[in-house]
Amino acid sequence: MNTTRTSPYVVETEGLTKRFGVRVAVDHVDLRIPAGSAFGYLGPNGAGKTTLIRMLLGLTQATSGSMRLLGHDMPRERAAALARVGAIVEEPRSHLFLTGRENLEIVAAARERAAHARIDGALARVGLSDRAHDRVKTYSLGMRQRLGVARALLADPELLILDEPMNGLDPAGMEDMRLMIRALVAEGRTVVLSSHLLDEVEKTCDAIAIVDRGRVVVQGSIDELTGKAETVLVATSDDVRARALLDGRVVEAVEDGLRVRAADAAAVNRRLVEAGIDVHRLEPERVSLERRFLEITSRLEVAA
Amino acid sequence: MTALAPSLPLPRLVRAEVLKLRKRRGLVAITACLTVGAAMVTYGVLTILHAANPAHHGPAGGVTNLGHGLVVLSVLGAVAGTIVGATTGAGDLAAGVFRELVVTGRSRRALFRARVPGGLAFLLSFVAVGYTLAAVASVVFAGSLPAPSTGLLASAGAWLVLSCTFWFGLALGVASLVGSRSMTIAGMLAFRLGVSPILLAIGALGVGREVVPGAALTRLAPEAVREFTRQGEPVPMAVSTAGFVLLAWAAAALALGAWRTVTRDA
Repeated sequence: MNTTRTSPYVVETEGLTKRFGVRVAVDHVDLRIPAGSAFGYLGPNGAGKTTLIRMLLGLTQATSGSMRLLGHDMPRERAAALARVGAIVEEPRSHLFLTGRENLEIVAAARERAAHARIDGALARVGLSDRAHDRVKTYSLGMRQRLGVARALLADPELLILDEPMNGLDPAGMEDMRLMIRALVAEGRTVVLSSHLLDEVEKTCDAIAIVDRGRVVVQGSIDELTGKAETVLVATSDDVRARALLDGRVVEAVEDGLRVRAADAAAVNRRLVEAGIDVHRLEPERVSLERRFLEITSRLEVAA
Repeated sequence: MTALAPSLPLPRLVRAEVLKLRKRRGLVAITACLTVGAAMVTYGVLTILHAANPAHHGPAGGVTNLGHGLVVLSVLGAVAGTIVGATTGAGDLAAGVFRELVVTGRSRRALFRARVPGGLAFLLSFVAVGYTLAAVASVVFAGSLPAPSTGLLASAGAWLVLSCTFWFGLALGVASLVGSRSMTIAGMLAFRLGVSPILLAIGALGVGREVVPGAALTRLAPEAVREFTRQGEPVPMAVSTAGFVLLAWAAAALALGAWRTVTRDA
């Protein structure tokens, strides 16, 4: 992968807006996606995720605002910007009467000459080498999805934009996809993953933006957004004494212990042990991405 | 060897267009039937009739039968050109692959431009075989009839190529504009086979009939076979006018198709 980019961001948008009549699908989005990361773009259905991706890729025109892809102004420098971008938008589509390989050849013909030499590698990477000469109409949904990824890889992409790439994949396929995305990021590429599968995004991505009603409402690293909760799960040899000792900090009794409000798990442990209570389990809780996502989007619903 | 390995020195995008067309089995079958098959059936029937009853049916070849063969090939070639043009113009859109091509960054104009030589390379290869069969048969089976001269064969072939290319270009432009293969085929065949002969038969339209492509194509047909290619009443017009009419129709359709390809949401 060659890069001549100088900006630390692979995607930069400013005030990006798309209206369909009176409906605002994307509303003044300011987005900065750092290079070399797996970036999740999350939002409920109809939040404007795909519309933003379509604008970034020059599939539809923005109503207002500006955007830069790999340091190139879009849509003015469209050819240069997209030369190193691979993408799946919504479900990947293919000519069903052509083989998987022929479909890649069609797209490679539209790219630089070197793209042809990448076909075999791309097919191997997504595990389709054995079926490369079969017609796409005989492929399962998951195989068509993987063919879409192979097509995106023909660009030798610095930036991969994958819109719901887990659709149609079985659990093993999802695991393969996750590993492949991490491997691509390890090679220095950036992967933008638009998805409603919060668990997959949390497992796969380094940073996320949450979008709702066309606006980016939160943006940051997974660690920042999921973060530590102010609670610790504690299982002891004597929960009755532990509850008395920890006084009003016990939030509730759970199936196998107590949920205790405390920022410092070590301090809780020290106090219990010093009181002669054995601690079998001590687990600082984290706020899952799903919980944070629901908090944010439900808060917005209340505000609306 | 890849499917796009160059057998002809064509640009890669053009070869990709040819690949998409030649891998459609139905399209290959119907195009072959309308061109090669049509020539074989026409001269086969004429040969059988002559063999069965030479006193009543003359030889299968000669200038007259070249005219008959040319009529069959031009009408069915127009149908083939329409189907191939509509498929070339709307195939990527219908399959949803146009979007996959646009995200490569390749200009939409280049994607559209590649359709023209790609579709023509596919269509005209069948037309060439069909016409070669007709030309050979009209000479070989001429018998007592005057055989067509080399000049007539060449001009008739060129006219057939012009006719097929025209209908192809028109269908390509319209399909790229409306984004629908079936609507384009239905609309254009209705125009070519129904509306056009009716318009040409309405004498009251006078010189207005000059804008009907069928009249212009007939005017440009070689004189020896022009009578056979006529769709309705003859419309006297200058060769330059006929050329301009065809050019204007094709240019307008292609320009609109290109414009829509560039501006449509992919």
